[in-house]
Amino acid sequence: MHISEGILSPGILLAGALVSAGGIGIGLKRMSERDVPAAALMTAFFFVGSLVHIPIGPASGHLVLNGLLGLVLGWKAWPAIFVALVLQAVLFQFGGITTLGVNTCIIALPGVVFGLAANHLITRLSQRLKLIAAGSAAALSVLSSALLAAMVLYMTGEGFEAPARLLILSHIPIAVVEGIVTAFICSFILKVKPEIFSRQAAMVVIIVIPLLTLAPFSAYAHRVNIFALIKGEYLQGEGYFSSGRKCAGCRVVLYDSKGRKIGETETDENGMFRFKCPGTEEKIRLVLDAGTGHRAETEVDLKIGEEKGGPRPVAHAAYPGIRQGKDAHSLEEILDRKLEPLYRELKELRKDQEKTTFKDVASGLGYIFGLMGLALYGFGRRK
Amino acid sequence: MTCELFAEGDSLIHKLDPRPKVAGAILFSVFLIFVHHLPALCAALAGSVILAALAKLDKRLLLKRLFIINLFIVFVCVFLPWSVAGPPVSLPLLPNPSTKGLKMAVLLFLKSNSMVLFNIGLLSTSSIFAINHAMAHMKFPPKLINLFFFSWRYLHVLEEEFHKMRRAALARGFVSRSSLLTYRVYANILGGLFVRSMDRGERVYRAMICRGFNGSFPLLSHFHFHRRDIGAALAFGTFLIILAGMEWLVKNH
Repeated sequence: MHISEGILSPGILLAGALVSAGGIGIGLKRMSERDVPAAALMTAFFFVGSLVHIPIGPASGHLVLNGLLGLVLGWKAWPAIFVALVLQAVLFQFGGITTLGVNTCIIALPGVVFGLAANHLITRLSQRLKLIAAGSAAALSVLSSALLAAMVLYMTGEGFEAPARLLILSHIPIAVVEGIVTAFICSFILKVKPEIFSRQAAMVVIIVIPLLTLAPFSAYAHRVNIFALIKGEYLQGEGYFSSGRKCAGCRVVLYDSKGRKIGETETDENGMFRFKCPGTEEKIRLVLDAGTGHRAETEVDLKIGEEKGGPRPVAHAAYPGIRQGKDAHSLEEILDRKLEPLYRELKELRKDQEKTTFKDVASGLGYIFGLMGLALYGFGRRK
Repeated sequence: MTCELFAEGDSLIHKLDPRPKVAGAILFSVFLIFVHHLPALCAALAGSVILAALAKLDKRLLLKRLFIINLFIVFVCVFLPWSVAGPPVSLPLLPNPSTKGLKMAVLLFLKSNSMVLFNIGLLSTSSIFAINHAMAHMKFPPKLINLFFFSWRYLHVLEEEFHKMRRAALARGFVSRSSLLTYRVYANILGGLFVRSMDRGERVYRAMICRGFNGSFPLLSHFHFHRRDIGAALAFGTFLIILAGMEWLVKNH
């Protein structure tokens, strides 16, 4: 889960550093002198936990324990995790200095959010449900950490999709085991020393959780779409955001079937672009890049005219084999047949668009509520 | 646990004041983020190698450490030649990598390695307590420094305790395999460790109160800049300026 040094772009590193500085600040403010030794021991516990290798099928993985730390420490888990990561960076060079902020965010943010939620539940539920809450909070923390790490890699630029995907996939079994182990740990603690789960005043998480679950939808709502079809010897298309805004001045790159770049252009102010059809290729791929992580691509099959890949791409054929004036009737027939998927696709597209606007509104509301909640929570605590 | 692998030694680097070492490591890493061209990165790597040589680090341990770190770096880099689009290049063994992707992968590899090597040379040659001490002098928040201090102080205690409990389980015939029982046993060990560390935290706090702890450790010894520290800082500064110059020259040609 540690992202190594030298990979991420400066913007992301700075954002990560700022967010974790905020988290650490809040955590330190919540931490009284009295809490420091206990929090330090939790830091050491977190560190030792990450050295424990647990067999998972044929392989083995180490525990992350960010959910448990969030559950017990609440906001104070931010500085604890930060210190543990500093130690790991200096001792083992896992992670690094410049990535400290981003890595702290990746591990602490989900841990604190889900941990606080579980903390809220654990003081209220029956014994069995308590364990389920703790276990699922731990599993979700690990999974969200992996998602965050993947997102950070993905946002850093072209070419990191594969490791990002692998990162998420490899953390699914780890998350399951982490959930099971954490549930058992909590069952042990509840038997031995239940007062450890002191209330962390977690009102706010009831608001933050939906916020986090809405975040992916909001990413979806801002998705760019690309639409391309063949007109004569030109390949014409349009780039637009799901909100309907035109994607002006975006880079569009044309690749051949082997992934080689064969052309590049920019969209005009209406989001339109135009290429001359490459004669020799059978299949081409268009990639539209609208800046930080907003990418859309479509594949156009010049020979058959059927769309491949995602639901959005609309393709349609140049008509190989039919020369001008040879057989008008069959041409028309083919045209109808070829246009059919286009119409269908258009309809689906419009439906899809309406859906995203709804999600857009929902996630926007979620954010507003979440931020309001955070602010209120902060003020409430200070008094 | 042998954590501070490189902290002991009596080379020039080991003798340097930890404050400029911490500052230098941060400065170098942040500086390298903005370097994107081959010549400057090669020079940076060369500088890191020289630093490691000056620190007289154990070569076997160092290579072993670098190998482990490079597993992570390669994991990220290895897909780049194929996932970044660009004009292809024909190389033996590699099927159709793109030049742009290949270049990116090489740059990333160089950058990560020189950062790691430099940080081993500069930071890992100080003990954690020295770094903590330096942080205290560099006016980090006192709670953070205490947290850091106590964490490091009790890390080994906890680790030993963990191994003790694990040994006890092994002595009773526990075999680690992927089964619910294994997870339960590990959870009980960790739960025990957890409860004990909570209790220990409380005890430590009370013991500190008894000794009149008021939230910060008085600093007995203070660092002094020696001539060698100034020399090292000057050398480091010129090195950074040379790197910046190289990067600037390449960028504008």
